[in-house]
Amino acid sequence: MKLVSANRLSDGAVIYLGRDGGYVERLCDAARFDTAAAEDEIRRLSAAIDVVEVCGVEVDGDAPVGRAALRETIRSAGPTTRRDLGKQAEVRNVSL
Amino acid sequence: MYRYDEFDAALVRERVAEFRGQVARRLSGDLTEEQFKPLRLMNGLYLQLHAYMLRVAIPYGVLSSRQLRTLARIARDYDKGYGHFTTRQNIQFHWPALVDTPDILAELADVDMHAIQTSGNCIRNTTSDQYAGAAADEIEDPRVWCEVIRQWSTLHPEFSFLPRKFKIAVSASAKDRAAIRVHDIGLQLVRRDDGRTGLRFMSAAALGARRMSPC
Repeated sequence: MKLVSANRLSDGAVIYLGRDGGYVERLCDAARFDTAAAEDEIRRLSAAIDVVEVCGVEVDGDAPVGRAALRETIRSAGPTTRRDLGKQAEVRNVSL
Repeated sequence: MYRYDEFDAALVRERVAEFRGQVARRLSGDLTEEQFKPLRLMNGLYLQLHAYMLRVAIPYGVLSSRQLRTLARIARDYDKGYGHFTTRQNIQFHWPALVDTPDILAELADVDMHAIQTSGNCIRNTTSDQYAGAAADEIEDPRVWCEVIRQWSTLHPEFSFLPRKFKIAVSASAKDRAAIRVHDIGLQLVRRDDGRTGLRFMSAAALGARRMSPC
């Protein structure tokens, strides 16, 4: 399954496309898509003016997988050098 | 410490006003990210994994108390309470919001600081020995030469949109504390046989886009 992610234009924060079509900040709250649907959502979101760097994220459950797994795990959590910053500092149930 | 004259101050303030307009046009959708990216990079603003990052120049590594306090206030009010000093005499703020960056740059301008040419494919901020002006072994103060380069290169239309970034460092000592050998251009001030100041010129080293043979 895939998630659709981006950075919010106004502050650069990592966001995901949620189940209601809005944006959510936690990977575990993101909507899941099959590959074709994810591509459609990526195309649609790429036209939005309030996000940048739109991409698909391959996941197994709540864990990013595939060749971008490490990058996406770090994006979902926060900097590895500062565990007290980023989503990992705000959300206790992010898996690292 | 180099003191900005009225031309420097006016240029920096005009640059802040220009960037404020560019940010507003980006947020309203009048500029695409493709159009905006080179503009924000020319003002030191990157988009990284978790947030934006703003790189601010600290010319030759020298800060006044007033400037340091301003950096601390920016870290507290606009970021997460810290900054990262870099090896090339900058400070990076890792969590600023795009919407706040014009205000941050305006506060920096109030204390003669800026983020011009700290990123992007241009001639970057010229760096020097961190002990420049106070080193016992220097031929003369290298910051004078750095300033000539800075003033010539700042917003130079021919060198503002290069294929890749371009870095220059200047040292005035036999001991290389400015890492001139790893810059695109390294300049070492030397005393010539006739007693005049000369320059040893090194180019095409490892901080460049492509490592090439020294010449």
